[in-house]
Amino acid sequence: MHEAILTAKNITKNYGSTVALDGVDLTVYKGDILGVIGRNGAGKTTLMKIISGISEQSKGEYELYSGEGGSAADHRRRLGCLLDEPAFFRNMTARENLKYYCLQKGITDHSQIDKVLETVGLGEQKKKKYREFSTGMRQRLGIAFALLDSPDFVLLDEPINGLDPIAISDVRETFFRLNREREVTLMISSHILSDLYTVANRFLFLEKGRVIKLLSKEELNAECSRCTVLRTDDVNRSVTVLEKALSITDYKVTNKDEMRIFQAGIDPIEITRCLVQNGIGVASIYDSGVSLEEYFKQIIGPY
Amino acid sequence: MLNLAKADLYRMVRTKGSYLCIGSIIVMYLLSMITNQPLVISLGYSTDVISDTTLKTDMVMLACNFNYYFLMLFPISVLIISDFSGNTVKNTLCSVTSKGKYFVFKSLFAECVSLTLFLLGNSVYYLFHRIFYGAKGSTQASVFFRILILQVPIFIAMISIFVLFAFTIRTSAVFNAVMITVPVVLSGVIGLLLFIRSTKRFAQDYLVRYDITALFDKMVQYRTDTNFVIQTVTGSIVVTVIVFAIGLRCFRKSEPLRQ
Repeated sequence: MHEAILTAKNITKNYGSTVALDGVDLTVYKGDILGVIGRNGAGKTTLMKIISGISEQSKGEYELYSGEGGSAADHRRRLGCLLDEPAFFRNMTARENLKYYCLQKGITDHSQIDKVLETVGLGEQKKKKYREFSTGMRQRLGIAFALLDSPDFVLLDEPINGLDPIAISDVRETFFRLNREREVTLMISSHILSDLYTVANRFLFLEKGRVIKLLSKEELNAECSRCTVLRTDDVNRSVTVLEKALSITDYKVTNKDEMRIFQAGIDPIEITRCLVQNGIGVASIYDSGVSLEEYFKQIIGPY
Repeated sequence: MLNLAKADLYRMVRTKGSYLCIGSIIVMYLLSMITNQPLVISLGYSTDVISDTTLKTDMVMLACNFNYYFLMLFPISVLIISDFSGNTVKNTLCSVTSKGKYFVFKSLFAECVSLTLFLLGNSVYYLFHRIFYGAKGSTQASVFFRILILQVPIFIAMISIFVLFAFTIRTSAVFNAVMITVPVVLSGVIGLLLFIRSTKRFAQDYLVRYDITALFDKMVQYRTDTNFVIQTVTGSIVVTVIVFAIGLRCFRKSEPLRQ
């Protein structure tokens, strides 16, 4: 059982008579990449603001790093955040801005400023004033800020907004790497659902401040009937080969020449290569089922 | 808190507003030095100190310390307003400190920075005035610094009001507009109350006597009036504590980011 990084119980937030969050229960485990999905005003940013300590919940409680000692301030220092739009001092350069926050956090090793700027692809622009930054560059600096001081838990509110396709791919790779190498827990909200599907391993669906679904990727795939449809000249041998070589266990033989693989994270190229190397002819391989976007539309319904 | 102070000092030296403030203080005192005349932004119901020929220019300049009301708008803007107008406050609140500690730090730091400028400005001015005009043309150091120290509680109370307004208004343009308008409106209200027969007595006894726009001035005029000094110092401390408590309570309950 993974340790819980965040345990939230009955979190409710009211802005006057408007209910922004309504009894949200949530547990985020160490190493999770939680995708937060919901339309505008669903409560994604409010939830992140409460977890980060910027906003206070009207009701309910949450605990960070439950079971671990230390004060709330210590826990907060282990948190990296990019909430709403990135915000920095316009008259200061990217490096100066990050140095300001290093000083605030008491980080003495300032070499990590250059490291995080390199990580997000701003190594060349570190001496440029923030006011001269494009939207994408500002977003990248926001991500760099969130990654400062090697946080254990990173909250990212629409982090790929305004990024070009190459930057999106780079940022995605950075998230994967942090999660894989350092077991950093990520909570990411995004409206680009195809991208979120690739990155996340758990999905939180919010609507009108309520949690309507909280699913693992496997559960989501099952709900979406999302699978890889594979047609070969020998299905029985394909099953044996794939079980042995790629540890594929979640599948169903649907026809004498067709099988459906439900297991998430298996690259179709890998499957094809593996089968061909074992002398099995591949007639076709494709993804089937509804996409995350279609699934989201189904469960949320129209406006 | 020390880390927050280091960070804010790092930012202050990179902000034009800081230099503009220091530059304005230097220009103000330099002009007074050259002309041997006080420079005053006259507001409120000040006393006749400015036209009192028995007083030396350095003493009259001490009575004109309400000038700092306008000069201190710069550091408050740099230290507090800029965090809100650019929404950078969220970066600090999400990974460095809580809202309560943030308010306490900003209040104390704003007081420290402003007070340093106030004491340094007055002291350096006195020193140079003494060098240029000699002992005969200057006030005795003990008298000058005694009054300066007595003005400190008034100054601290004034800055605490600035901090409260800064945390409430959070926009540079509106903050400056409100803070510049407040003493003018205050003078207008006192003028109106003095005009009305039934309120004239009350206005004379209390409002004119303790009008913040003229308190620095009166601290010079009534320097030997122990009652006035005690009442003013006590009042200033009470105002500071109350304003701080209100600010802290309100900020802890408020949403720090613009919606």
